Amino acid sequence: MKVISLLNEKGGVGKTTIAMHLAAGLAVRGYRTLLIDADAQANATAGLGLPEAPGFYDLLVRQANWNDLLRVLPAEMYEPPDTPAKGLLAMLPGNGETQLIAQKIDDAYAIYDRLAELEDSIDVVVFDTSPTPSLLHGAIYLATDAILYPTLCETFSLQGLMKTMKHHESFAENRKAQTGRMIHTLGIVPTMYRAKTVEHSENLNELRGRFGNQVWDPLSLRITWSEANTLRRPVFSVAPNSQAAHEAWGAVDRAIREISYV
Amino acid sequence: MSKREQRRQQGAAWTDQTTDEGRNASSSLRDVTAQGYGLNIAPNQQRIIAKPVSIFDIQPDLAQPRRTIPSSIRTAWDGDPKGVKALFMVWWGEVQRERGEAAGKDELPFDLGAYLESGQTERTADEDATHEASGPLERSLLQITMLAASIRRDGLINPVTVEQGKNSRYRLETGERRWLAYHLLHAWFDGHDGRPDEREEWDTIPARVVEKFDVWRQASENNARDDLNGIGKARQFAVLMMDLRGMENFRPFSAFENEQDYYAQVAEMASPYGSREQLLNALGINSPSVLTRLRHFLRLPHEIWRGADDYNLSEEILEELYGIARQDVDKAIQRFREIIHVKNVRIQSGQTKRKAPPTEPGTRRHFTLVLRMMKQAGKGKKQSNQQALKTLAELRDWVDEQERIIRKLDS
Ligand SMILES: Nc1ncnc2c1ncn2[C@@H]1O[C@H](COP(=O)(O)OP(=O)(O)OP(=O)(O)O)[C@@H](O)[C@H]1O
Ligand SMILES: [Mg+2]
Repeated sequence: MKVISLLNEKGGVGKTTIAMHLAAGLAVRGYRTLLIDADAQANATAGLGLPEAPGFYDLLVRQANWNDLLRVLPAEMYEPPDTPAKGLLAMLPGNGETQLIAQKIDDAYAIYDRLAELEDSIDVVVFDTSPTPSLLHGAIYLATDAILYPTLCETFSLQGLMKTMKHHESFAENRKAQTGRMIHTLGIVPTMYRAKTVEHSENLNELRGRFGNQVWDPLSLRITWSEANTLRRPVFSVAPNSQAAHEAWGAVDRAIREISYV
Repeated sequence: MSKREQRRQQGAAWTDQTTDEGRNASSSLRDVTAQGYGLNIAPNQQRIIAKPVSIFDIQPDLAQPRRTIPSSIRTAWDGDPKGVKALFMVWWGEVQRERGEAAGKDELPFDLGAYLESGQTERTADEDATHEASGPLERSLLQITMLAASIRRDGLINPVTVEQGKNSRYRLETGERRWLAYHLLHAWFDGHDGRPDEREEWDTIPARVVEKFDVWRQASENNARDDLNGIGKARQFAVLMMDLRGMENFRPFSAFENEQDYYAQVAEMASPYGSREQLLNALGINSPSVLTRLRHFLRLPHEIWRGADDYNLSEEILEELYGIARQDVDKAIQRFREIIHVKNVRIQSGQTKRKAPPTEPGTRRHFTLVLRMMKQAGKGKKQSNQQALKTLAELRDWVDEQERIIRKLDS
């Protein structure tokens, strides 16, 4: 089992959108995938049209059983019209209570330990996180095998990205000391990209200069993404032949390749 | 070895043996996150290394808001650690009596020895039924037994905290359950009747010795478990209020014949100016109106107070009973007895209903089944695949149905 977290301390950069698409895409490709909504705003939960409770809080504070928490999504909700899903997509919802978790636990490895129970039943876990650092983020970092950084090619987002990467390093030390495992970088994925603007293309060049091929192909700004969002389905299910769907698959397949190195 | 220890050991193998002072990786969420974000958060409490302390040198805190021992049993015990073994025997006797009254003489309580000796802590479906059929005395003893079994299997994960007292004695701040579990293990594995003699192992418990007993720390631990009932919360509220107002202004616990009266000393008192936030936080509640409610509970009739604690009555019911008691105490007590009676009956009839194991979609069993089917499915395994598809279809119907229900709620 591999745990992937979407992180960026800047808000609105596409964490939730990519988390949902990545989880759904992996499920279509044959992975048994679990999406965990670790953001108290619960956008991913709402985005898939699921009820908010029981959720993440119940797992960590009420110590509920996984079997009582997981919701397996019907494949019609996310698979493309003529590509039946080969894996499965389960979700652990989030809600306002998520904010209270850190007050109630003091074990930095609480998430790590609960995820270990799923070793045999889930292949990939995807975390959607909130942008503002919190105590809970500490526990998520320590449970994470690889981080995927979505970012806009705009100055503030890049600053957020740099900060996040610095924190990645210091959490990685603790994880290594306690478990002997690393926190890899799965990649950096530029989102809502507009190739025609100078700011975006320059910043993308700078990113590539710095991080080389860790930078994935950008996901362009397209109306399809927000339309799919309204329909509560991924772009490749709503508009399988669109450019957006094409780019989304590009990211999913890149993720699959990177996961094999983690 | 527990999962946690395994993890630590694996980790230790990776780190250099030259861990210089202070670089020891902590696993406290606060410490780790502060470090990770490069912040200077003052540590929640000093990390004091645990040391083994004799379970007989530890005095329980009689005013502890969380009652591990049912109130009715506790009255038979003066709080002396030497008397815990006898206490367990009384408790076990009462459990059998409770069983006998509830279900007829041929019903046996859960098998205490089997739990302890097998190290089993997860209940199977049949034991679930046993569990549900039992009354409050049995339930609370079963909880300690399961904790003891898990300690014997995995070790104690979280040391208790104690305050240093006179004559190398200690006062228990947090961890009454764990301390009792050690006593149970000590009493059970004494080499009698061919049981292993492990008395020495359970003679001492890992404890952090803190300088000063801190009711706020005790509260945060009680609160973290999320299972204090209304009466427990009322006690917790009272203890914190006493701390805010100065313990010396109250009569000690031992001065009261009925424990409720000790806590009720604060029933009419306002919280000191500016301390309300702190109280709410420590109690883990978000609305001041709950405080009013807790004050009400402090004034409930004794019989209701005691029974509500043992039977874990909901706060809503307690509030209702309080309303009735204000008009007419006898009526409230009568209503209370009815509620307990219904609870008893429901608990028993639940047993017969459970006999046929449900595998309908939406149950835990069914989810487990789905996951197992998914695992068994594979290339060329026609029959397994067929079955997997069938369970998945059931699940899908169930999901659809849930969705319909929930959508209806919103329209
Ligand atoms: N490539 C894209 N083209 C157009 N719109 C997009 C694209 N990617 C995401 N969006 C839209 O941008 C908005 C913000 O995205 P999203 O909610 O995924 O960000 P986030 O990082 O999760 O935000 P937060 O930090 O608040 O959790 C959403 O309305 C989403 O539909
Ligand atoms: Mg989001």
